[in-house]
Amino acid sequence: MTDELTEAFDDCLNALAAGVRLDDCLARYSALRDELRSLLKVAGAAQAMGASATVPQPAEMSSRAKFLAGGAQLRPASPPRRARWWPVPRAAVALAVLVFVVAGTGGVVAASAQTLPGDVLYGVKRTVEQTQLLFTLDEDSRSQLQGEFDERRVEEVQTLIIQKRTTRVEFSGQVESMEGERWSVRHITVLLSPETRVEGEPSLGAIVEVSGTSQEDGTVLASLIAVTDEGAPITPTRLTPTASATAQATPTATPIPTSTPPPTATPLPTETASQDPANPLPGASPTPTAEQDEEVEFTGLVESISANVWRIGGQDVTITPATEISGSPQVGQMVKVKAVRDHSGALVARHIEVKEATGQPEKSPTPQPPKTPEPSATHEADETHEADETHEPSETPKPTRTPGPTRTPTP
Amino acid sequence: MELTGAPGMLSSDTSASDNAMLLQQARAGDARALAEIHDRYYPKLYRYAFYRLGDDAAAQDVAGEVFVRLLDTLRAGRPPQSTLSGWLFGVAAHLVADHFRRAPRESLEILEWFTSGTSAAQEAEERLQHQQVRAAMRQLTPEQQEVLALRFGDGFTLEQTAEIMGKSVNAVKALQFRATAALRRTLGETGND
Repeated sequence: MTDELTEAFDDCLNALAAGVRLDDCLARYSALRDELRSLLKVAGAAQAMGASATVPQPAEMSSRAKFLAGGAQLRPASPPRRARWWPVPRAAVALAVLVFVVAGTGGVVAASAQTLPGDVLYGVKRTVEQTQLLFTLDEDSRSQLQGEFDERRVEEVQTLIIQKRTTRVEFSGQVESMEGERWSVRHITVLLSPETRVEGEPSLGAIVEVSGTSQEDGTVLASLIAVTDEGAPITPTRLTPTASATAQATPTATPIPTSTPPPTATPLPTETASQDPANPLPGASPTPTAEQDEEVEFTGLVESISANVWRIGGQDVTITPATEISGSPQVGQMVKVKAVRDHSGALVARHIEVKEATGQPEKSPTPQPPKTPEPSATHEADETHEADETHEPSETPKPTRTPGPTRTPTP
Repeated sequence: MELTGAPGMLSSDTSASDNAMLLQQARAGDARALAEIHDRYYPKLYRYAFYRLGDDAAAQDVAGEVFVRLLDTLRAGRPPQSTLSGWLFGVAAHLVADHFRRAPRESLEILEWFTSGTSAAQEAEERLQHQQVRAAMRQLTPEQQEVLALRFGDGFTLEQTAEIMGKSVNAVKALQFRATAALRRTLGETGND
């Protein structure tokens, strides 16, 4: 009886997902009709609960950026490209060692740590970095160190942009947009000129090294752009909020000739009438709330900052003297924007408020949530209630064993 | 076994060999592979965590932390030995359990309050029903919660769910039935409408 009911329940789930009417499905199992109807109603309620989940795009993109930045450290360091930017003669290394040893405790090296390109001690900072790399023999550690230094370069450029300083800079990152002579690399607007030398064939998603000059308008005028890695593709769909959520929740009118269509495709019987899986889940939350001459409010990552126009969450936002700015927004930070859309369709900011400290990849491992062991090979007994309260010691070292296929006998 | 073309969804055609290839490339820091893994799984992990926790911020934490853990294992040269999806959702399940352990448990009184016929504003009714179902769900075993989250929250097929949970398809089929029946008992449902 239970086996028959188990099969009938699964069959009805699939049938409903394929567009079959509930009564038609129940008619196949007249003896189990009431029991099935009741179970399917509960399944519908359980399914409806998941329909309200909308993947927050800013969080996804922030996680993606951190993941890719961390992943970059997995790549072997490429000494040649560093050498091109900052050739370090042996004499300089020897000097750095000398500086490190003699003056390190005296503060020269420490003082150089906060310097920016163009500062007197910036050369010391870079030479110390090169020396650190030189003395880091472990390849993984060296790669990780190189990644940290790459992040420093980006942060330096962002700071220079905020300070509107004009000086020679260099950094590397992913090409996020290419609009004519105006590109975006690691949320920094890079301008190309006829004098810009381009090595390789940059494309969206490629990892490039940029050498150029920071401008007062918040851009970097590139003298050299060199592809170091073809990188990960950036497709427009990644910038479209919750495409997968929308597609997944869309019911399929045509029955699918497969035995196991997704259960979310078709509404199951539920008393929650408003929970229509066809609901085209909206994108990033909150989203602009007005079209024209109305106030628009949204939250997004600051992608670039220039004198009059900032790019936030994929939208150009005009900054005027009347714009109120709370905090010190920087490229990579999450901000809340209140703006009005003028007749030309442009967004004119009224108020910009920093929402979180930074959206940039962190240099240290994320501390939260606390470490938990990785999945064990076996799952808890099905009927052991509250097993999650007893099976996972929070501070035990991570076991290397991960869940493999564990055959559980069918009841 | 194919899903309805939803981007980022798993399919049995890709989850085994393709994921193994992706993982191998990711170990070398291949940006395309890393991006593909994140794009493919973040939405699913978020929805899984949101379904289990019912909290947006906590779900974001869980989904993001899974990828931090993945990077840790790759850096340590200890990549997932089982399927990638099984590993990712396994970590997510433990993070969810960890969250439950730290957060105060929703009391049964809340559930009783919901089921006692207390009237609520019309616009809040849906939310309350979700809370009611979620509260009832937390009375189930972790495996039962997991199968409901994967099948009904994420929309995984039986085969995909089996792969993630490391079980056979028949075992998952039976588990989803028992989980639904247990949820019905907890909700106080009967066979009569």
